[in-house]
Amino acid sequence: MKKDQAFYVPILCLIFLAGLIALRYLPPVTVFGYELKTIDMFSDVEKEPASDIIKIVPKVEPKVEIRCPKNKICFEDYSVDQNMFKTLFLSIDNLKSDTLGKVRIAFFGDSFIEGDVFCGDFRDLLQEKFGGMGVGWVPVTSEVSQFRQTIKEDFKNYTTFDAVHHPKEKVPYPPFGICTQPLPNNSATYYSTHFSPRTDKLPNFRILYQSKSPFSAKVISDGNSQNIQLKAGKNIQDHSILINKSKKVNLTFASDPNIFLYGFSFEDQSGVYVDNFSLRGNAGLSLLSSSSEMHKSLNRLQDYKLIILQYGVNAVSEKASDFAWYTRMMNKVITEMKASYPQAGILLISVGDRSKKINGAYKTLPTIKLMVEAQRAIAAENKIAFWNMYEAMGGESSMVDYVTANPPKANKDYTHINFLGGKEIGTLLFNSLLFEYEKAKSK
Amino acid sequence: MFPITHKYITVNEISKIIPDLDLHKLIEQFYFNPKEPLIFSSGYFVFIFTAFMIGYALLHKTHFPKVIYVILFSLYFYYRSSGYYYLILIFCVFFDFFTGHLIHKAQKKITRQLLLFFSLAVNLGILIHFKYTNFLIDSFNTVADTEYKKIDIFLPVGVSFFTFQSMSYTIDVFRKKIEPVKNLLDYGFFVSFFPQLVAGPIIRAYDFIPQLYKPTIITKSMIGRALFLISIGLFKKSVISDYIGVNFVDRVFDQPELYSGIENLFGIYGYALQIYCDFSGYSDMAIGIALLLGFKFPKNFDSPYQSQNITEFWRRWHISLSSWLKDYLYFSLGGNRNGHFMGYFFPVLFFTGLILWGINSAIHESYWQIITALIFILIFASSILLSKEKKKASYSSFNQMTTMLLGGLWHGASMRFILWGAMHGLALSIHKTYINLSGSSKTENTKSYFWFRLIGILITFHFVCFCWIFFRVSDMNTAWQMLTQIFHKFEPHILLQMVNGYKLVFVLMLLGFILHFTPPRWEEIFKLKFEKAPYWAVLLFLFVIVLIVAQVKSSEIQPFIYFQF
Repeated sequence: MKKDQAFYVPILCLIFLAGLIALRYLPPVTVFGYELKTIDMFSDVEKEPASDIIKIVPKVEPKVEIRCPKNKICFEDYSVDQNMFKTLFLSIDNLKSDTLGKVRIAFFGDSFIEGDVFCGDFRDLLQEKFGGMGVGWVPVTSEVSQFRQTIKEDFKNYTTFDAVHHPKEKVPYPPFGICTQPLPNNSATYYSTHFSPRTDKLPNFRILYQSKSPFSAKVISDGNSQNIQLKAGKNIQDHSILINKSKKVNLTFASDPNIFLYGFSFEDQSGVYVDNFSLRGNAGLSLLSSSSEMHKSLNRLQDYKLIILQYGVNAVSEKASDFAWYTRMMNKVITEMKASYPQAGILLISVGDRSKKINGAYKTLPTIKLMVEAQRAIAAENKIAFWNMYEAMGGESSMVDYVTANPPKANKDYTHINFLGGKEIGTLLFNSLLFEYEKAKSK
Repeated sequence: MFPITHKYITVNEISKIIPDLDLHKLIEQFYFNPKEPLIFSSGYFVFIFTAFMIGYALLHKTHFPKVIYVILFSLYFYYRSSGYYYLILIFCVFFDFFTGHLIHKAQKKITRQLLLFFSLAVNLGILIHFKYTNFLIDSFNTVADTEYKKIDIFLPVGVSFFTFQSMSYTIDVFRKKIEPVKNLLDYGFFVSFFPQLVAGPIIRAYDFIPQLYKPTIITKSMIGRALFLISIGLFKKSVISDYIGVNFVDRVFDQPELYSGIENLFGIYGYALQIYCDFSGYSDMAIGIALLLGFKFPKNFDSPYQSQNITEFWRRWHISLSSWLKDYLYFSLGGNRNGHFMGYFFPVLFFTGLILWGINSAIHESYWQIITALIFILIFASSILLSKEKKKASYSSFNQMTTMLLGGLWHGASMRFILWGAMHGLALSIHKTYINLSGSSKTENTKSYFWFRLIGILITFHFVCFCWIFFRVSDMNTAWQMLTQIFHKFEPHILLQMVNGYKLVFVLMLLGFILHFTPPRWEEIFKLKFEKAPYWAVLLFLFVIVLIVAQVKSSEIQPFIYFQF
């Protein structure tokens, strides 16, 4: 056995290599219903296959010219007089003289902004510049309550329904699609965080709810206890609680099947507030699962000056290149929003980049670019403003750069950004808004 | 340069095989690409290795043609991953070869010591410059409250490995353990040998050089064993490690707060398997490829998680590194016989740093840091004070600690690695003291012995896993979050949901651990079977493994699942 057989090694290598190359020409093989993936030894040196996706996207020809300095990401304002943010900017300017004024922005989105990723930084930058303290709306229960950095929460004994996962439940869904019922021995405790100087204490808050009969609640903030009676009321009611800048606040509610809690809004006397209404798996449709009264009721309480819609990643699939159904749905959504929140400007944010393995390497999903175009067309069609998040991230293959950055700026699912990526995009969105604000001022 | 027409013919011929050939991409393949270092499991490597082996089979009976041929291939291999930094490698070869000779020739002890010091300073200088510059800047900024900017330094691959290999040579020559290598080319062959160049194992000159002077013979059993090792290595690295990493472990470590305690715990178990499979799998491939060239490397991993205590763990984990540290660092400092300024310097610096960190945090009303610091010092002190032979114990504890602190730092430029090394250092010291007190703990083969062993394995494994947390996390805050989730939000009721949601991950984890805990005897039997099996069978085995790897490589990432809390 001590014979030298060195010559067998290259022979074996050649046979092995030939076998691997031969796999290219193999017809698809199925083993127990599983389609065997073969190897293409030449995939690294082949030309990119031409994309076979047919474009069914109308090219947007804005009636007005969108001016934007080079290397900047600007809003594309498709409103008739290019004045989508007029109300917002006026109210912000009024904050200087109005010590009790609050300017609210509703940020409707999907899992992309869950846990206050991206939205939290956007809010914080606005509050730093224009005032305000507190994170605005928070749900009663959340799967990401420990993950969220702007406020943290422990909770127990509640049942929560959401419009995406329980669409058939007969519960009065609010526009943001989350509704919670208190069970016996329930408890929710919110904690301030060191995310920024504006989150290290909890300001006062409001309880948003609906109930057929009056009910009681107990609030303990930093050891001070308050017993509260909440009135009965339809649609969305609110009740303010003063807690005077605490580190933590604990809430318990009477248990009754007629009580629906819609969340709490943490806010100081005045300033800018961004409500993060993220709903996992939502493509935008859930905004239609709430009645018009509910929308109007929310608007009566909050008087939003700007509504941001950040959707789309849940509507992008690998193959679907026809976004006609999506366009129809979003048209409905925007029509509803315009009717329910007439004073508010509306800003549609496009999908960000999302990658997928194509021949073993991560590349931008071809349909993402189509989705961005479709969303731009929707914005133009409905005469609202548009922000191209795909471009803001860096366009083609930017998600791959986000994931491979050191430290990483996105998760390895190549779909969701993390807090670091969120900070980057949140800052970009804030800068785009500020650019618009300065431009409006100089007019 | 080829004449143009000739080029066209070849391209045309290739085009017949590959209709969509992109010539530009083909040429790019041969060039340095920092984003894609050349690894054994890449398709390109199979091509160039096959081409290389044809030449090698023709030259393997010669000496100088073979040596030059392999050096050129190794340098190209290195260039493909690190570009022009292969010049560093060449510099190391020249420098250490001549220094080795000078040390050998020098008569006076002081001259020999100076030469050795000079050689180590240069080698460590290269390592520190490329790997630790920014860490040093960072540390200085923290201590002195300055704001020096970090420098953008490219880290050439394998620099930690080949500098250690070179140092082993000059130290061995200094210790008169080996004669210096006869000529420069032979030394170049040893340092640049491509199988272990970028990721180890760290080969010693006295293991390797003698093999170079013997006629190269590649027997059937060597080929069988090599293909088995390559298959197993590929399976460990590209199937188990890559799959569980990307689909489970990474996401838990990236954002522990999104996952319950039980998922965090299994994420840590998963990482223990991932790092073992990744590291030892690549070592297996390196050992296998070296075997195909007729060179035998010592074993680098020996089922480390089967260890009953931490001392045994370090005899089985990354053996080439731990034995290197023992021979060249621990013994140089004096082992358990002598103290040395350097042996005291690092532990004292480390413990002082810990105390300062503790005090600084206590000022900001955070007390766990100071408690941690005190616990560390208490354990360290008790490992000396409890020992029967206090003097010996103090030498060995300090030197052990220095070895582990620097060993930790070798893995990466960050405080976390130093902390990881420190925890292992403490455990080793305590275990030494325990043995010193109880005498050698070899009980007879009784039933109680079995349970004793099992408990030992479980405790050791969990301690090692605990240390892995600090090895893997991106910052201390994340480690803290993980522990918080495990101790306060364990949620054991989602166990079944979790296993269901990540079926394949858990199947692979189970398979990985089962394979890891198979008795070593079985493994040897397997290897022998492969040595005796006909070539076609072994090749088929490798081919099937490659097909499995392809399934994993092209599989979609499992979506993130967050179970209801």
